[in-house]
Amino acid sequence: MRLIEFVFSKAAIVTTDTDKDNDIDIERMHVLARLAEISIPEAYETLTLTHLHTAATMAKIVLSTPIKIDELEPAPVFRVPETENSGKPEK
Amino acid sequence: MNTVEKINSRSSACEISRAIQNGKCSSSEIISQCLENVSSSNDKLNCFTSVLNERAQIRAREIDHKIAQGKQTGPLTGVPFSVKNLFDIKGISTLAGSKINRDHSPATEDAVLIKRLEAAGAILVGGVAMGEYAYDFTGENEHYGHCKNPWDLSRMSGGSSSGSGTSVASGVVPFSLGSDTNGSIRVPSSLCGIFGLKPTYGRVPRTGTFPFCDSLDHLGPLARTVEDLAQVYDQIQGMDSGDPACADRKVQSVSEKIERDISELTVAKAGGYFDCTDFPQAGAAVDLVCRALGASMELPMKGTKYGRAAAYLITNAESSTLHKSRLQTRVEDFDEDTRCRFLAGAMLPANWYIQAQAARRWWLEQMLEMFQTCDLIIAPATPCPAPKNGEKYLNIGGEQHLLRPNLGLFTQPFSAIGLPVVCVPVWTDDSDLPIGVQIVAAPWREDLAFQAANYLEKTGLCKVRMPPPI
Repeated sequence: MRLIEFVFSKAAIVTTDTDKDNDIDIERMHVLARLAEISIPEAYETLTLTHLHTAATMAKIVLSTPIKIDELEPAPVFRVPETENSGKPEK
Repeated sequence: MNTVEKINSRSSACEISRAIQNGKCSSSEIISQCLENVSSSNDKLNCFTSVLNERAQIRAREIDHKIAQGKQTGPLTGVPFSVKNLFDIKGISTLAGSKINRDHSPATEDAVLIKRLEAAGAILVGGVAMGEYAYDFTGENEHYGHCKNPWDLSRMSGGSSSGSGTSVASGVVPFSLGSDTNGSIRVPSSLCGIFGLKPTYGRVPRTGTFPFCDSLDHLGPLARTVEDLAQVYDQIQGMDSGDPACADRKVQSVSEKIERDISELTVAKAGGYFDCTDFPQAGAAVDLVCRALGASMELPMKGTKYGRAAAYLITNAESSTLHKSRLQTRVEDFDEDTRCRFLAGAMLPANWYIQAQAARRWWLEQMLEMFQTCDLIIAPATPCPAPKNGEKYLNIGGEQHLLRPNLGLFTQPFSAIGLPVVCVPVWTDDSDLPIGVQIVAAPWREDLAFQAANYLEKTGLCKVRMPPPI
């Protein structure tokens, strides 16, 4: 299987599925690392994996944000005209 | 000199400035005393990473000369200050708390905010410690040692603006500049017992500072009085084209507004995610502030967890991208507490990051709706007062969680969407250590948070105390 196919066949892993079998393991982490053009020295594998799992937990929360589909927007920009302040009107 | 015993580098910035301008003491005297304090305390506090003896003394003499000639010298005349060592200081390599950046060429000019403060008469005395590349809430640093909390040297200063918190709380300088991506001004303010401001995202330019996470990076001051915090904020805000995220807005000074009556303000307590059942001292501090400000409602703060999770992923992804070349070539030279987090962040799928930005937008909309019903929201700054150095875990709901990322669990949701926050210090009855409370306002309404902070300081509830001299 080509690298890219391998990663994305497993990518579900790391995105939406909570099934333990689909979780990231050391082998898959190294594949992701190759794709990201970094290498993870053996001494740092376990801790890096722990942080990746923490990120995966955060991703599960973010992916469950009640945003309507097709309403994705980029980063927040405060759309406040120069003359106005946000919040309650100034008294 | 008797006057310097009364007005000294442990005085407030505004007191020092007025005294020098009124001829009660000289700028040179204040700077000499400050540099002496830096020298005598640094072995214990491990706070300053560079000290600008010659530059500061030359500048002090210039100010004294100007005053002798009757020239205007600015609202921060002769006031010594420090900056987190991610600010460019001309002639010094910008470390950003790292070992790797020692190899960088010295900066060719000062950061914009240093220039602005010196134009207002202040005098930079040095760069101060920080967690590596700002990825830290503790103040611990493998390369340079831990920056100590002046209230108890066995405890954390908080981070990542650790040296800023320590240099101000110890009385070595009246104010400092830090940066705050997820809480790095507010956490050390809380643990060291001083005031800190994280302005609205885009209010203060970041030109000439080493970045961490562009979507979330803010700069701001830490100080011992609200008046000083406001004065410094007034000098540093405003557009600079060197920072593409800086908003093109007029300067909205707050110094003249801090004394305004707050009785018309609607204040809410943050509930839900911010419940402090597991954190009694944080809860007690929030209750004291809410009572003093007459909080009239508690908000459920639904959706906070999405904001915090979004901040986590955005920080992890953007910072790892920033450091990718260093991860490829010098992975062994990272601090052990940041290295693996950066490595993990380099592998996050793009859809996590994009969804996190969308979640952030959604969370901002929720918060803007809340600000239709209130002016200010009160929340804890940290779950606990300063932990012991080396502590790795935090007990949340009976479970052990990693301390390093979770010291900022209450600050992250607000910086995630760029809201302005003033952090105020509270001493509760049952502790010898301070803890901070966040006063959160709607975007661009720093003035309201300042008014509340000033009121709390005047009532004596949130007054900075001075630890014994080191």
